[in-house]
Amino acid sequence: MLSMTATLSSHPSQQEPDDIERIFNNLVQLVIQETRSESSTLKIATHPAYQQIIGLGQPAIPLLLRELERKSGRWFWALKAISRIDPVEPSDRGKTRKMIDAWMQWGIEAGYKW
Amino acid sequence: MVGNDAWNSYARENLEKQFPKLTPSSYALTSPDTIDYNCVAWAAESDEEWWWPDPMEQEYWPDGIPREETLSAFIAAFRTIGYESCDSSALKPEIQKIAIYADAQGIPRHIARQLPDGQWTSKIGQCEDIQHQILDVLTGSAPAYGKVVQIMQKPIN
Repeated sequence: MLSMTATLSSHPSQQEPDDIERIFNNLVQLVIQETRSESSTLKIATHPAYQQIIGLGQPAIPLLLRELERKSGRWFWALKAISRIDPVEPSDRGKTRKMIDAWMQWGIEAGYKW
Repeated sequence: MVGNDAWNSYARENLEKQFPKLTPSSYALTSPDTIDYNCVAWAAESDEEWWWPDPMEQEYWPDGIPREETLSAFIAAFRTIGYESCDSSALKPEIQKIAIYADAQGIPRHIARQLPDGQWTSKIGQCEDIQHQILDVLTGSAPAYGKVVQIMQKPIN
């Protein structure tokens, strides 16, 4: 059974960057622990902790790019949901390494550092 | 054996926690963990893609097949690569089989592929590949994969 305990204490815009990163890291660990045997991208992305990562908004983008580079999970949905951008060519859908490359390139061009 | 003893112990402990029917002698770890591919891709013999009919259209799904988590969509997806539905998971010469698992609501959760010796290979989500003797070891309530609801087969090329 999933445990869905992580919550944000207040609105992200009222928090310091270190708080965002700490909250983000905790949420990432929850997603990884509780969805590791899932193949369903829908189930992974609708996990409450994953939804809270999306709720962190733009400050989460460089942190998500960092996680993607580490290949810690499937963070493509969150990046697309927050940025409203999809740099992955339709012909590369599902091709994990090419998807990561496309998001890394997009992050660099958009000026993110991670 | 894949990886060192510490990694093996960690991976096995994690798997056996999630799949209570998976006993130490009933399976073998056959790959490191990776997010490069999932069970559906692995059943389709790809280790470079993640197949899923996600509505965000992030993952690979065969063209023209509904992007929905239904058994009919999964059957249609495997028809595009030559599989047809059949009734038995028993090993047959020159035939390759897959087994689709679904939860109590009929939503597909997992696919295993039969190996030439009659055992099965499964990619466990974002974790490792395992080789298991019988399909039943991955059945049960979540996080296990429910029950086997469909077998499909195709001739081995």
